[in-house]
Amino acid sequence: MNEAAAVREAPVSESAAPAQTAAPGIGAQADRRAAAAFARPGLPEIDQSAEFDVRAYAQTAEGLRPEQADLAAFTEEPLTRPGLDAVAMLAGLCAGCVAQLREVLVTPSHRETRVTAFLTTRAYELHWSRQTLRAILAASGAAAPSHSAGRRELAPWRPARRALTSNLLGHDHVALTMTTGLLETLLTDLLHTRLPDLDPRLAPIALRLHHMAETHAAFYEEQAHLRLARSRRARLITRAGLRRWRWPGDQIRPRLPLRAFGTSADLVKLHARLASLPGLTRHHLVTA
Amino acid sequence: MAFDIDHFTQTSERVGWEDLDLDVFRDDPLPPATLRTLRYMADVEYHTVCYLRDMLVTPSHAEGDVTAFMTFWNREEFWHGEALSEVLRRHEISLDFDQLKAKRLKLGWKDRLAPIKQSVAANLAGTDFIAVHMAWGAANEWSAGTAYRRLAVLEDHPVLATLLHRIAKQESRHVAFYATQARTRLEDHPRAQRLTRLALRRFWGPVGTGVMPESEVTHVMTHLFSGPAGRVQAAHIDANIARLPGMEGLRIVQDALDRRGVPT
Repeated sequence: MNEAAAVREAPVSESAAPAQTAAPGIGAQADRRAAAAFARPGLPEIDQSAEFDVRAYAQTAEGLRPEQADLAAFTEEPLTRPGLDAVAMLAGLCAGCVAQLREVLVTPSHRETRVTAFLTTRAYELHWSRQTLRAILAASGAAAPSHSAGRRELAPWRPARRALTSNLLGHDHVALTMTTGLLETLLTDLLHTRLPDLDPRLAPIALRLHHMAETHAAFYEEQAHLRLARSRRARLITRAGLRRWRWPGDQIRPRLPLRAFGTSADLVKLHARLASLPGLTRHHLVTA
Repeated sequence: MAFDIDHFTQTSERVGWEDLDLDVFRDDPLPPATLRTLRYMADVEYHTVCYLRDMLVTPSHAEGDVTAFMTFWNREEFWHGEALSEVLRRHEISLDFDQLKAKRLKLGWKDRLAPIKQSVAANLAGTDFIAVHMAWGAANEWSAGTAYRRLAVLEDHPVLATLLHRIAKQESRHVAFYATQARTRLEDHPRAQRLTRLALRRFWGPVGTGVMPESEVTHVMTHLFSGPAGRVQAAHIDANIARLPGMEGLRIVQDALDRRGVPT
């Protein structure tokens, strides 16, 4: 593999302003200086080249509300088993969002303000998606997955261990988080696009979920690309992390096999998209 | 009063300012001391996601209601940061994502180790630790709400006051959640009470302590809570905290002011 051929050098941010520190004082000038005092934005870890407009995303994200689904139709004629299973699994995946947030926030990704603004908004969207999916299950007379569905294992020392190892790896670890975020979003989206085949009445919901997932994927993909392109170390960490990556977590019930998500052609396309990221040309999906 | 999480999530909105004429600040700018306080408040609001992280590593989030609350709380606080940033931007003070990131980078290992410390403490203390978190959260939200309302009074600027009151209104809903949770978890739990009392007395500091430079904490405390009128507000926050089971007599806010030499 000629890895260098896949590497696109992202522009390295220039050092902008010199370091300023808040000067203690009671005068108006000192107050003004302190109000506008910033840490050095020219730090090498700062990336200013991202094009995805997180503020615009945060501003327009509304989430898919239960009242936007035709619930009465599902009461009249409940979903059949395959539809129920797919909706229940998607609800479980949405429920796992907060646990996933925890996993990410203990790593160096929590310092990435674009990433945390994105995750904050995404969690809000997924909350409503989950409520809507649960409402569809309830309308169909099926029990919604419990609150704990989708929660990743809460081994007491796990966050501490994860915080320590990821922070020792440092800033380059963010590339792995962005890449697995992309991968999980794309896999989940395969299931979204399958919904209308399972029951045509799920088509409007599926389309909304698909659009949301496309936005999330666009964010992750750009972030992963920028970071992998810039650092060989990020590529090493990401490849090693992907080898250990398992999805979905053990807590997801029901758990559909990967073949239920899409055809093998769909998976080949997904692989190709992942392989277009710098340094991941040879990567193959691993599923738990 | 029980906290209705469904009502909270259904009525949760990002704080709006589109109907407010923020451009008035271009001709009639706020005084530097107020900008300095607003900058502090914006930074702290944006930092909420780091407090969220610290809560998520403890058993606090292992319930659906708590999880839902945190999702919306975190988003509302992010938008408080955005709203305050808009005001600052009208004064040529730009709080963009790179600036905020630089700030988090600067926190260094203390910040990186925070989730480890939290996780260890939580696992040693067990479920009683949730009571600490909830009481701590209540103290912070009471302080934040009071601080916004106090700044609205001090500045007496119609546009700023409207925005600050909108933010404070959302903070009141956060108080309702934390205080309800804290009361439930402290009532009839002497060990949780002892632990919470110790944590608040020994470790609590005004919101933003440890994240913002000490000079900024002192500025904000002095700006908002000095003098008899300011001290009345601080005493009011303390009185609220002291009404939580087992917290009688605590005066952590006034103690924090005294330590910083804020004039009475």
